[in-house]
Parts: sequence; structure tokens; C-alpha cells
Amino acid sequence: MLPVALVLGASFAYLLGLFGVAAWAERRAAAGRSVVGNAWVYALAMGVYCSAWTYFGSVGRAASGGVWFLPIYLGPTLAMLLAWRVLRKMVRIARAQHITSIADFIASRHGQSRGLAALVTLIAVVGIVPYIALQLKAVATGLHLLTTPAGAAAPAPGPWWADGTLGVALVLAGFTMVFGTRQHDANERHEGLVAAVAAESLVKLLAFLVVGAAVTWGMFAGPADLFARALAQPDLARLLTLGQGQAFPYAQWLALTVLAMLSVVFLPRQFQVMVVENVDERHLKRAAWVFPAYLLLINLFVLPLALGGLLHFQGRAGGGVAGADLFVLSLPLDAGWPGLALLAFIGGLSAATGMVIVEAIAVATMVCNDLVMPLLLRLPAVAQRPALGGLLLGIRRGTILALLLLGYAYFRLAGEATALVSIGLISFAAVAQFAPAMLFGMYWKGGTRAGALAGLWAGFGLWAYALMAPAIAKSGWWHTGFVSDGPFGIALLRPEQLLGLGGLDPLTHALFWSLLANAGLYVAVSLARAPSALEAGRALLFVDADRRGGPVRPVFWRGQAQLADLQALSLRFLGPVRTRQLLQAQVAGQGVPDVAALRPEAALVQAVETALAGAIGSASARLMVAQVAREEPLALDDVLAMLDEASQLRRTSQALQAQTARLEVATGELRAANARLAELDRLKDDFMASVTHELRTPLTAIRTLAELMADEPDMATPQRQRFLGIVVAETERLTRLVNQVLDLAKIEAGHAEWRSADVDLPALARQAADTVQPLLAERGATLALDLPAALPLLRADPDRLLQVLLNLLSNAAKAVPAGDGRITLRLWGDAGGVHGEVQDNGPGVPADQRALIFERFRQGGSADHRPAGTGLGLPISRQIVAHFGGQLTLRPDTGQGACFHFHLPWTPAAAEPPPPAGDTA
Amino acid sequence: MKPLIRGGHRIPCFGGRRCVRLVSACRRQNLQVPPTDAPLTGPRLAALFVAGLLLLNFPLLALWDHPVTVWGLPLLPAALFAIWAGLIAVLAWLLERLPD
Repeated sequence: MLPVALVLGASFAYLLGLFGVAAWAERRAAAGRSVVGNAWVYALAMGVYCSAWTYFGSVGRAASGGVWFLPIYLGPTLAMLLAWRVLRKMVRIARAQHITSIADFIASRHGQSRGLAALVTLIAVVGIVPYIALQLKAVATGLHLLTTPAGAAAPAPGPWWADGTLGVALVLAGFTMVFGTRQHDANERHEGLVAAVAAESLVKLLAFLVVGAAVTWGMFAGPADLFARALAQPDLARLLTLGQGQAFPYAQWLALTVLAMLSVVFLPRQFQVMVVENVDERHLKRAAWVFPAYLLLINLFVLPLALGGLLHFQGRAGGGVAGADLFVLSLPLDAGWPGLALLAFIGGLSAATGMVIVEAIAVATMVCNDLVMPLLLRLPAVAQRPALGGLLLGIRRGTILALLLLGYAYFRLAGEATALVSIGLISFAAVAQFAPAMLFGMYWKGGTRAGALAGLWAGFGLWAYALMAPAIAKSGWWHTGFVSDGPFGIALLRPEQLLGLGGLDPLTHALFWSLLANAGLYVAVSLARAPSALEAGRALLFVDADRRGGPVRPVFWRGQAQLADLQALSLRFLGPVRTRQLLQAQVAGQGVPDVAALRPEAALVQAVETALAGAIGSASARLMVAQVAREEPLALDDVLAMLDEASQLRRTSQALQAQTARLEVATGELRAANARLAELDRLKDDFMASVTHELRTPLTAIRTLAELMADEPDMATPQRQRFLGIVVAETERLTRLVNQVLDLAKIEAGHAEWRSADVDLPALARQAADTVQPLLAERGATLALDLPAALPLLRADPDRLLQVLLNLLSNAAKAVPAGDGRITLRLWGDAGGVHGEVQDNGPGVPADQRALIFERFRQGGSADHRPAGTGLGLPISRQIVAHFGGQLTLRPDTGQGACFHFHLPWTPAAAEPPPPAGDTA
Repeated sequence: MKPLIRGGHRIPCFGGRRCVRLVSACRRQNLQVPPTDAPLTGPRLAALFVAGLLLLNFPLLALWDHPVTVWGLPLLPAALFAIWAGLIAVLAWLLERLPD
């Protein structure tokens, strides 16, 4: 045993540590460096699902039923498989509508009904009380076990004022009040709370794993040894089979799985951390698998602890199924590890406090917003108070205290006799009643307020009759004949075998009937009457929340309001800061200069109402706005018209976006075309400069010589003859240049004249060789011809082909070194056509020029060192070859000079347009 | 599977880290984000849910109800935990490869 002071001191120190975490997180949030905006923290906060029930009760369940502790965790895993779709939609809706609780969600969906919000709150309170009792029981019995000598009998419950459980309840209530209702503005998110809950999840997981590992490896020689010893005993071995010797009740297994699936989303505390406290919906992506992984880890040592406890305490006090709920504490204590036992207790305390704090805050928000405020706001004295923030906090604090005292009362009433797990399941079955209204409401537009009310009443009633009442009766407070024989002896109404439906355990039986009646009435009553305009409008906002559309949301409101009234309303509930933010956002939306110029139109009224809903709940917000605005009733036709308008707007905005995208593409194309034009313009300028240069050189020579001859009439005849020869040569050069420019222009424009004749290419090659002979001789170069004896005739224009050959040969002649030039002209044919090659032993074409030499307005060589010629020969040659369906290319550089290659097909497939310049070189 | 289209070429994208990288590269360069197989995630998760429901219920559960041990662990709980872990692994794989 441990000293009471030590255990209490450690517990208080732990709770203070939690405060520290919460305060730290809130300071960080205020400084803009939130720790909560993180998928891991979000996932850990979801671990609040594992309450003291998990921590202590799972081991108890495993000790009596083997694998039966698992469905409660397999269900949430299955639910999280759908979280990415379902939970994300819930988060989106809650964000758009400023929803702060599950009661608000259901009421807001079904026409902002105050009655519905109140009913959901009532179910939540009644359903959650046993669950809180469970936490109190766990902490109190744990505390008792740790601080009394081993083997001492449990004391009879003393008077209420001396009861340790009451103390636990009061401490937890105080802690929760300070924790969850510290801020003066009652806004919807609690960053500090989430951080503290995430820390608690970590503590309880680590504590449970450490205890599990210590028992498995410290008290036994590992899991294999533990299981081997358990399997050696028939009654323990039976725990490790499905049915434990009987037929396995699959229906109950499925019912538990489904129940846990629903609870993990619809328990008020789960809805709080998963939906309300969600910072960013993308966090769901990671949390959806981290949370099930957390559940798996925390369950890893449940079976070893259960079997280990049963083996260890065999035949002793504290053993057996009765003591199994506390094996987590009693095993380390009995093994002589008091420190570990204290750690285990802190883990259990962590599990219990986390659950109580979040659950109480969530339920208190519901009670305040959906039950108390709508009633209070009807009183003129309350409705006219200038600021209501303090009143809201007071109501919440009172609710928290009341809730924990109710939990204590339930514990005194019914808790002593029941195992932890069966208490928890009663609560699970209560919150499962929210499922039809929530899920139908999110995915079916036809659900109405009346349908939801009917379904919830029926489900809640059947839950109370078939599950809650027998549980209370069995704990000795009631005549059990009511359970075994039915009320007034009517057997058909026996609560655990309603209408004679037998063969099911009480939980499955109650769950089946209540959910059947709930969902059935929801659908049936909804279908009995067309939804009202308000209901239809809300349904659209919820069901279509997921649809990808434009930013436009329909506004279902019509009436008249004053800006001053709306502003005053917002100031009372939201305070000056948030009111200013709210109105500023609207200024941008309406496109007016400042807040004073805002028009109180429907969108503004809607925005104020939605923001108010975050503080006082959707139903109360509706009431307050209706008080300050003169509203006109909407008919269903109006809603449809507004929806049409909204979808028209959405279509228009989509069309606008598409148009913008198209314009952007067109602009990009235009810009590219413009750049290309500018480039062409520059090339043209270069070319003009080059051409005028080429024209001016011969012209200058001609003019100079002509002037000389004019100035000297008695010039010697040989001299005159020489000058005239030069003038003629320069004129020829001019003619050639002008011809080439014209030629290229004609070919490019498609106006060139093409002759068609049968061409003997080898003969043409020899003719070309003869023609360039003088030039070669001048350069001291030799030309080698490598021609086949005969080639089939080619259908083409011989003059043009000669032009190509001459151009290639003269280019080569200009490129080879003076006096030592070697040029080779090769021709050969194949199946496709004829190939030609002109190879020289010059320096070759520099790498950076290879792509340019075929361009129309470019010339090889640098600007200040242009080779002789016009720079048009190659482009013209390429155009000619292309005209006959062939290709003229520069062979890859081999370091032995330049090698131009052309290929002409035997049968040109019609005259193809020339390829764009520069894409094949 | 829809291919990623970038620079006029079609790159088959089956999701995963490479796909995520490509998508974020496109975002950085202000290119239109190409289609991925993200639309398949919903149906895949639904299929996984059905598979989980079947694996953990009647009658497939009875497959593991034999007095056999695997590495010293009794078959039934070991199999349940293994199925559980498998579901989580596939879920993690499906969700983590989604681009933001």
C-alpha cells in the first residue's frame, strides 16, 4: 500500500502539470504559434475516447470474456476508414455554420428547431451521466486499492459527506470549471484544452504500456510463457477461444462493433475534439489512421494483463474476475513495485480526467446554448442585458458541477453493483440514438424537424425502457419482476424481450429496437409531410456542403433589419473585437468604403446569425435575430428561387473563372507570338544590314572604278580593260545577290517555277564539278568524285539540283584550308531514294552554329567576320531539297571537317511544305 | 489510373510519393495541377470498410478459432490484432499518398 498523502499529492501535481500544458498552449496560440494546428496533436486528442473504462475495464472484460474487449476498438477503426468522407463533411458543415455541439448540429440541420436542440441535450445529459459515474467509480476504487493494506475488505459505503468518491467528483468539477470556461468570450475553440487532452492521451498510453510490459516480462518470462501457462489451465484456455465452449453470439459482436462505430463520432466529447476543435480538415488525413493505431497500441497488453492477473492471484483475494477491473494497479502493487503502481494510477486518473473534462465541457455547452439560453432569452430582463458573456460562463460552470454531482448520484444509485464495461455500454447506446438524425441529415434532403423529433423520442424512450430501467432495477432499486415478467405481468412488454423477441443479449436487443424505431420514424414522419421552406433551406446547406462549386452560398432569409440593431446584438454576445472582424469581412464583401456604409441585406443578417450560433447555439441565434429584424416568412417557392439564384451565381462565377483561364492561355500565346515577331524583326534587320553591306561593296568598287575612268580619259587601254573586267564581275556579283534574294522570297512564298525532268544525278554531279573547277583551282583544293556507275533517273528540276550541288561545293571550297583542300562528293542510291554527301577537310562548323546555319536570315561566322557569300545559299538549298520531299542536313561533327548530306526520295510524295527553320539541324 | 500530364507528355501517376512530388512541383511552377487518382480514394476507402466489416465478423472470424499458437501467441487474438494492424496500414497508405 501507498501513503494517502503521496497518492493525493502525486495526483494534484499531475493535474497542475496539465494546467501548465494548457496555459502554455494558450500562450503559444496567443503568440500565433499554435501547437494544436498539428495532425498528431489532433489524433492524440481523439484518444480521449479511451477513458477509465478502457484503462481499467478492458482488462476486466478480457478476464471474463476473452477477446470480447475488442469490438469497442474495432468499431472505431472501421469508422475511421470512412472518416475521410463522413467526418470531413461534418467538419466542413460545422465550420460553415459555426456549430459547437452535436445538439446544435442536429437542430441546425432540421430548421434550427429549439425543441430538437433541447431533446438532443436531454438525451446527451441522461446518457452521459452513467459514463461519468463510471469514471468516478474507477478513480475512487483505484484510490482505495492503492491506499489500503492488501487483503483488507472493501469498506461499506459511508455517509455521503465522508465518501471519497464525492471528493473526487468535486475536485474534477472544480478542475473542469477552471479549465474549460476560463475565457470570458465563450467562443467555440479551446486550444489549451486540446493540448492538455493530447498530453493526457500520451500519459495514459505510456503508463499502460509500461505496466503491461513490466507484468509480461517482469512477472512472467515474456508473452509466450504467459500464454503457455494460461493455455495449460482449461478455464483460462477457454478465454482464448471465440465462444468459450458455447455458440459464438455473432449478433452481439456485430452490435458492439456498430455501437462503438457510432459512439466514436457521436459521443459529445468525441464530437467536440473531432469536429469542433478541428483546426484544419487536412489533419483528418493523418489522424484517421493514427487514432486507430493508438487504439491498437493501448490494447496490446490487455490480454496479457488479464491472464497474468488471473494466474497471479489464483485463489487469493483481489483475484478472479471480480478483481480484474483493477489488475492494472493490483499486479504491480502485489509484485512490490509501488512506484509502478503509482504510475499506473496516474495513467488511470489521466484517462478519467480527460474524459470528464471534455465530456462535461461539451455537455455544458449544449445545456447552456440549447436548453437554458433559449428559455432565458424569453425573459425581458435577460434579453435586455447589455453583455451576456458572464451569464453564459456562469451557466456553463453550474452545468458542469451539476453533471458531476449527477454522476455521483448515479454511482451511489446503481454503480456499485455493476462492472465498468456495462455502465459504459449504456451510455454508448444512448448517444447512438443521434446517428439517424445526423447521418440522414447529412446525406438526405428530405429529413424534417418532425421526423427527427419522432425518431429521437422513440429511440430515447426505447433505450430508457429496454436498457436503462432494467439496469437500475437489477441494482436493487426496483422490483425486478418488472424485468422478468413485464410491467403488470404483460409478457409481451418485458423490457429485455420486447414483443417476445428473444435470443439476444439485453444490449443488442435494446440497440436493435431503439435504432430501428429511431431510423424508421425519422424516415416515415419525414416522408409524411413536405419540408417547410426553412427546413428545405437548411437541408440544402448541409447535404450540399461537400459539393465542389463556386464560393457562392445561398442565403435563405428575407426581411428588413437595421445595421445598428445587428451591431448591438453582435456586441452583446461576441464582444467588440469579433464584432469588428465580422463587420470588416462584410465591408469587403459588399464593396463599400467602411462599416457605417454597410447595407443590412440578407447576407449580412445571415453572417451575424452564424457567428452568434458559435456563441449561443443555432436555435438561440435564430431567436435573437428574429427579435431584432422584421422577417418575412419564406415559402418553399422562395427557397427554390433563392437556390436557383445561388446556383446561377455559381454557374456565372464558374463561367467567369473558365473565361479567365482561357484569356490567360490566349495572353500567353500572344506574348509568345509577340516575342517571336520581335525576334524575326531583329533577324530581318540583321539581314538587311548584311544585304546592304553586300550590295555596297561591289557598288563602291564599280563607282570608284567608273569615276577613275571618267577622270582619266587618256587611261591606258589595258588598264581600262582590267577595270572594266572588274566592273563586269562586280555587276555579276550584284545580280547574283539580287537573284538569290528574289529566289528565296519566291520559294518561301510558293511562287517559284519548278521544271520537271528526268535527272541523271551522276551526270549532274560531274557538271557541277566542272563548274566549280576554277574556284577550286584558285583555292588550290582537289575534288574527289565518288559516283556510282549508274543510278535510276530521278524526277526533279535539274537546274535547281545543280544549284544545290554548286552551293554545297562552293561552300566547301571556301571552307577548306588554302593550298591543301580536299573535298569529296559522294552519291549512292538505295531503295528509298538517292543520297548525296559533300565532305571537306576544313575546320567544320562550330557547335554553337550548327543549329543556325540553315536559318534563313543567318550566316555562319561571327558578325564581324562573315565568310564570303550572301548567307542565303544553304537556306535556299534546303528549301529546294525539301520541295522534292527530301532532307538536307549537317552530319554530326567527326572532327574531320564539315559533311553535308542530302537525301532525295525516288518519288516525292507531292510537294511538301518546307519544314520550319532550325528544327532538324 | 489517370496519368499526369506535364509538358505535353503523359506520365502515368499511380499516386504515392512520386505523384505528390509532381503535383507540388506543378503548383510551384504555377502550372495547372494535373489529375491524379485521388478521386479513387473514396471508393477505395469504402471497399476497405466493407472488407474490414467482413473480416471481423461472421463467419470469417471462425477461421481463427483453433487451439493453435503462432510464435507462442494464441491464434485467435494474434489474428484479430494482425487484421486490425493490416487495416490501419492500408488506411495509412491510402491517405498519406493523397496530395494536400
